[in-house]
Amino acid sequence: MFRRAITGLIAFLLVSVGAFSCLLAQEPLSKRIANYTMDVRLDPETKVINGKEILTWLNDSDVEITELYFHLYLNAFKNNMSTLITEARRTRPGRITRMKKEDLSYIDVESIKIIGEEGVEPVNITPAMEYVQPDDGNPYDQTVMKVTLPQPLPPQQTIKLDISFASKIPGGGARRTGYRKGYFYVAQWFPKIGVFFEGNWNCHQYHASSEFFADYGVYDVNLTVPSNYIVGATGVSRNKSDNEDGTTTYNYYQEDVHDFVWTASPHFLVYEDKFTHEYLPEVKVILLLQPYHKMFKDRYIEATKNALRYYGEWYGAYPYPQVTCVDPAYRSGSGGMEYPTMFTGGATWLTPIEFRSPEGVTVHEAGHGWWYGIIGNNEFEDAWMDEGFNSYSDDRVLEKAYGPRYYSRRFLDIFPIVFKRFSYRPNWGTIGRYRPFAELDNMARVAWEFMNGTSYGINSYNKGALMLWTLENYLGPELSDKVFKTYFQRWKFRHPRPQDFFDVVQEVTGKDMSWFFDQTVFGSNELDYAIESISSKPLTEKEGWFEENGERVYISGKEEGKTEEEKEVIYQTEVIVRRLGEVVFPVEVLMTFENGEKVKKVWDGKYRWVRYTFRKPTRLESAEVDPDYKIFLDVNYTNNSKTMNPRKLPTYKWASRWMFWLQHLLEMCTFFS
Amino acid sequence: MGIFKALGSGIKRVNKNKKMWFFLLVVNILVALVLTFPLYSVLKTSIGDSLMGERLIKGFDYRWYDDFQYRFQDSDFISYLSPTIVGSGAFFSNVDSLWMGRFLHYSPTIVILITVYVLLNVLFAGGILGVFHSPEEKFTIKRFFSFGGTYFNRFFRLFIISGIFYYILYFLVGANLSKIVNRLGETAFSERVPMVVGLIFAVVMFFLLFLVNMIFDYAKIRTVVGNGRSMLKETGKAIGFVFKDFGKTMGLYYFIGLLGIVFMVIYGVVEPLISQTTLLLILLAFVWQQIYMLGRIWVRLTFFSSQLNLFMGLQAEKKVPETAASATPSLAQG
Repeated sequence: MFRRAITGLIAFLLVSVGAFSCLLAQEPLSKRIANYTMDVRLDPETKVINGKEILTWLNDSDVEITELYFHLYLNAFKNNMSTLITEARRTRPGRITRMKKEDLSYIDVESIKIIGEEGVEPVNITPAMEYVQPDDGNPYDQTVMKVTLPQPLPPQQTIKLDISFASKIPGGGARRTGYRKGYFYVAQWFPKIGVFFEGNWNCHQYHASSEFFADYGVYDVNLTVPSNYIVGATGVSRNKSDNEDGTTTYNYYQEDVHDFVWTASPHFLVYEDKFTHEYLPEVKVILLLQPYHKMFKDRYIEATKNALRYYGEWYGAYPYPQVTCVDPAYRSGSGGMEYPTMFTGGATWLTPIEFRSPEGVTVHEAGHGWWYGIIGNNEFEDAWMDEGFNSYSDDRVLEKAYGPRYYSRRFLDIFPIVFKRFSYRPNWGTIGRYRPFAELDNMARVAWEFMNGTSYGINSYNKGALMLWTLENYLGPELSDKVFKTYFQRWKFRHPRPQDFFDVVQEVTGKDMSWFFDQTVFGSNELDYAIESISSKPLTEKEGWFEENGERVYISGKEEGKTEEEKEVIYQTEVIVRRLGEVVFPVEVLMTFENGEKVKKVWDGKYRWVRYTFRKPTRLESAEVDPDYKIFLDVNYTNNSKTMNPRKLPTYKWASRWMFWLQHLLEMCTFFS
Repeated sequence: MGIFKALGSGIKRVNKNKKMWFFLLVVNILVALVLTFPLYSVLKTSIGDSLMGERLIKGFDYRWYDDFQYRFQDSDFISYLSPTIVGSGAFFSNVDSLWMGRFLHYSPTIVILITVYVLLNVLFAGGILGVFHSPEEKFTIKRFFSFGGTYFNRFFRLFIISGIFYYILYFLVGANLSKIVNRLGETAFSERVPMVVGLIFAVVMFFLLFLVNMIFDYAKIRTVVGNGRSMLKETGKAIGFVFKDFGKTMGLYYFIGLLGIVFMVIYGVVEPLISQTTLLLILLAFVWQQIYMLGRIWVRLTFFSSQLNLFMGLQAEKKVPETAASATPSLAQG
């Protein structure tokens, strides 16, 4: 009996290992160019992480590589002369103010060695390290490191590096990474190799307005933290072991991601749930919640599941076994940020669901799992390709899952007030911030070269989303969905450039859409069509000598035998549509007549104006450009229509409402009399 | 005198003077119209003959609002048009302004209008109290302005003195309270701490604002009743009066204030029910707005009238013991 039990146990173990091996042996989802094995320890007192990474890097090009480039992002907060801080003073005044000494950060690469074959001494290439500034030549910026190799690395060969480093985490809510009252959010924290892309190293400095770009690979990370800390990280926790010195080491593992982030806090509340769907794979949802945000638990999880559902249905299944949503600590500066398989939300006490917080940020950041996580675009150079795509997508999710947005405010800066009678579609909120910046920059600019942080945000997020909404409406929802799905499936785990997306659009639609993208992505002009004028007057009756049937006859202008009332009045209607902006886009024009008849015309929008004339026994009632509101990029929708019978009512209504506010304000101020 | 007795007779006196309410309402409307007409004109230009007008009748359209904001963002008072000031939103917006002193940051045009209106009401305060304190207690335009003129100089000085108090409250007390809240936020574990402390400070600020307001109400009352000439002296005595019968003065003040809040709630519940999609309904909504404004003015008048009663009642009670005390020696002698 004992022998049978042992045999059964062995069989069970073999099957389990086999199953696990099968999982591991699954076809890689990505090329796995940059693979990291790390062993790091956090000292919560000094806020320093000491560690070592073994980086296995594949030269996936067809040229020899003589030098390697690394990102050392945390050096951006080393002093006030770094490129990020210098730019922040200019482009984002008020943010990232002077940092205290204890809040500064750095990454020190203590040594870097090439690991050769077994038994061969590693080659120390530490002396070959130097800081470079490929973007702006700022000698004080140390966010990019170059290492010259003693021997070139041939194409399709790998190199294994042993890198020892120490990273000091920034404080004071610096930028995405930080700590506060025992909470640590650790991002961009290790020496990260750049991307050798299109024949060159693509390894930009860390700018005030830029995000990140890295290659896919496997991350196998041991994190040692005090035992009372709860940890969350990219990937799956495989095991944890308690150490004798009061610390615990957690192992996290994830394949086919391009970054690794982690968080630790003794205060987290941990919740787990499962996303299930009729055909999408099951995903474990982990929520790390601040204890003072318990009331948001269901809302965070629901929002994460909504993202998994709709992004999965529209674009493609979430390919990882779990996702972690982190509720960031108050004033930690780590909220609203995305990383592979983990993201941060952001919530504030006393926020009803109508405020769409934390729902909005949660859906957006979870959605970045697709646009940025799985589609690994270069955020430095093509920021709109993840932010614009994701803003467009999260608008769709929010509308589908939560309905319209409402105007709201806080009374005494505390109590939420929702104005439920004033609602708008989530994507309309995107319009509001766009117009003042519509002509300032174009979307295709590299992230740090926008005029300022606001222009970067508007062009990457808002205009990107508006452009994609306009594209969807132009193509129609079915064809548009097919475009996005094809693009996602074709380019997942790769690094697409804008042309790659444009090519997919052309392929799927069979249309050359370069005229659209040239203007909207690479141009900075406004799109604005307007009804210039409308008129509808009784036709001028013929009077005078006319040739009829070969004879000259005099027509007096009065029909014989008919009274004025019995004559059928024919109206000459004229509608002039104008192109006010420089962007050319085909538009629909709808003419509505008093007898209920509707006539829709399509204008190619190329010339500066077009005139439509009609002769009908009915007057025109109204004319409208883009009546179905398809062109989200149109900066002014008020001028899109005209009516023959404008009413004064709306003016009375809104003027009297404003007057009441003013009357109330005046009466309130008698307080001081 | 109890506060309910003071309130009851105060309300009776106010209700006897309905013409005063309407007069003050007319002034309020006329002053508001100074800026409403230009706003109307701007709205008319913005909406024009666009179909947006139809949408704005039925509800609201964000796309129009975005265009409106863009075109008039630098246009002084125009930019204050927003869905969040509609209906009870006006109350929340303006109470926030009062608490934080934000009205000082309004556009210059609005600040000027507020200043003119406040000065007018310095004049009117004299008229109100003069009428209430007169034997007839009856409002006529002539008597109202006569009393207003009589007391304007003194009430203007009180206005200046109170201005110093309000300045201290907003720029010293309030500013430092804000700094404390911000500093708390820097070290707090969660946002709850600064929010709760902020709420406590808001309550403290309101309490102090109301206290100063009440003190200067009684300073005006003292000036009218005792024909006081030194406003510093009247202010000092008003402070003494308020704190001497703190329970009654505060109780009366807050009870009347509560009536004002009740009116606001009633207004806020009914206003959204009026859809304002036809001219008749817009007129109805306008009438309802003005009924509420009448209620606000009634509350202001009730403050003056009831506080006047309380002051005179308590002064009379003080004199009765004095009279009894002075009578005692004669009894003793007897």
